Amino acid sequence: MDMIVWQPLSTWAEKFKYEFAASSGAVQSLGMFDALSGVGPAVTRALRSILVPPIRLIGRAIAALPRGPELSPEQSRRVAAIVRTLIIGSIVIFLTWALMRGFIALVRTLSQPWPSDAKQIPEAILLSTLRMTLAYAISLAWTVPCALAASESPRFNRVLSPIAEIVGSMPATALFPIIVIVVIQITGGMNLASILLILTGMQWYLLFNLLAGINQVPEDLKEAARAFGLSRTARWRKLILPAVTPSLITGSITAWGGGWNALILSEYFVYKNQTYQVLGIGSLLDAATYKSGNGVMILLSLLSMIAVVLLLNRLMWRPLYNLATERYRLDY
Amino acid sequence: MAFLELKNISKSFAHAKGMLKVLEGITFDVEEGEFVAIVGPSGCGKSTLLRIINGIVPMSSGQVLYRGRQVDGINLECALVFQSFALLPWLSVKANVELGLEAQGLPPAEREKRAGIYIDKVGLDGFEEAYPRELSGGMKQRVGFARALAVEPKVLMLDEPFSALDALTAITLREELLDIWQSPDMPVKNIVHVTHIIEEAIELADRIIVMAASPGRIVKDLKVELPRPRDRRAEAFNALTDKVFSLIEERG
Ligand SMILES: Nc1ncnc2c1ncn2[C@@H]1O[C@H](COP(=O)(O)OP(=O)(O)OP(=O)(O)O)[C@@H](O)[C@H]1O
Ligand SMILES: [Mg+2]
Repeated sequence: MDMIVWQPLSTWAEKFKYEFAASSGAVQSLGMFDALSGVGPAVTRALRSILVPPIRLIGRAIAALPRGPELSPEQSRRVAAIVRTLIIGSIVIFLTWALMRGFIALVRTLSQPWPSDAKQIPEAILLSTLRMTLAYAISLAWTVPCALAASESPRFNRVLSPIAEIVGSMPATALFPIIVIVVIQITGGMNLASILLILTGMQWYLLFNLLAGINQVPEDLKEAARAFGLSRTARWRKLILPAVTPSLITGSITAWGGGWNALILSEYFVYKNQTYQVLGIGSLLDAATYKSGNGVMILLSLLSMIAVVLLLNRLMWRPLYNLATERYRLDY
Repeated sequence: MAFLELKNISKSFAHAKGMLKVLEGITFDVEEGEFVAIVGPSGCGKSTLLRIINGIVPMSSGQVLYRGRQVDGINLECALVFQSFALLPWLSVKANVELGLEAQGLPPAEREKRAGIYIDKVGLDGFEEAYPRELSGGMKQRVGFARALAVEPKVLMLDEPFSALDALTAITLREELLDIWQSPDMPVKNIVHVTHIIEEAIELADRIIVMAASPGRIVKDLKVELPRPRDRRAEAFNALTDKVFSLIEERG
């Protein structure tokens, strides 16, 4: 049993682990694939704990049966190979079938007449990305100076790190209603509220990663910078900023992930039977889900959002990450 | 008036359980032109003392006088060479060597010229555009020396500069260090050299300051009277080595 199922399964899981480790050099997969690869070993473990006891029972029962002719090691290996092929084969067939079904369902849904809202999708995507960019710029504008200040003052660093940890670990979405109500009451602008909500989903990732990066700047390099009389700005320019660049990129990738997450909730908001919304991919998705229940619209918004996320990862974050880890690596 | 005067320097670091006394009552003078080696067991505070002298670590009490004056902050006429090289990995050899030149107010063209001169002097001609990770350990330390020499310091401060290198590379670099120090067109007057290799100290220095640990203090200050170039196999060399060894061992 071990030979037939668990070994291949754990090599499969190992492969994910390996890719995960290797990805510290170059990102193998960003976004949704990362989630998958993290799950690989866990899936194996879970499957194993569910399946092993009954299989072991069956195995015992079989072992208790009267024995037929002894198989030679060569023969038993061949039997194992056949059984393995059968099992893997049936799994592959099942998965293919499931995929086909899914695909057919997808095509069938999309071939229904598209709602008129669909025309808004490009504009919605653009507006949402703009909100994300603004929130990201605001995050950068305060976290980078904070990180630089932390690099100047160990005491500020010691104070900031635990505070950031506590504030950052509070579920931002829980604060959404309060933020929205307050902001709308004060300014009446749902756009501003939405950007602030995205900000709460972004900024902490950035701050965490930047602080972690600051703490990794080697002591001897800091000493060298001071011993050779670098001014504060020269020190930032030549040492601190290059050294935190990889952390900045990693932080940005996670921040954008958190941002998209918050975005979905941030553009559409119902309070006291009144709907507050701004045009964006998040509000299209929410409206389709909670109001019209239009399957085509849900699917279209989801797919276009996934497409944007994947494109951004491919075209921007992955090259930036590779560049940063290549040029600003701290080993020398 | 001595070139460098250290007066009753002590240093404590804050630790989990109160203060840790690292240096106590360090007093000595360095005359102009002297090559001083500081030896002692690991953890006796040699690196800390070196950093107190050039001002990047503040002392708890005491005084450092440089040419009779107290220096506020960092003394830029002391240039440091690190055991770990401490090169910026994202800067080319040339940019690394130029590190200290901006602070001297040199215009960019001048910096570039100066860096070129010292890169040549340490034998790295042709490697100006290389990055530290492309260099061998010995070459990296040559960059470390070029960076320190380029600021044309009066005092060269070496913190175990050869400890991370293989024996053969270390031998070559030691010889080159002596050449640099003795060459008349180098502004370097003094060298303060921290090491835990006693033979290295005896081979290079005019004077050896032997330290003991807990708290770090001076146990002996002795002149090396052997004629240069020094022969490691000479009897007098070995006798002195034994003497310094026993001084260190005595204090455990
Ligand atoms: N920044 C610091 N904070 C706290 N303790 C420190 C700090 N720097 C040095 N120490 C402590 O001071 C003592 C002396 O350190 P130092 O590096 O000066 O010794 P050393 O003689 O150079 O040792 P080695 O030969 O191992 O390099 C050690 O116990 C070290 O733990
Ligand atoms: Mg040391």
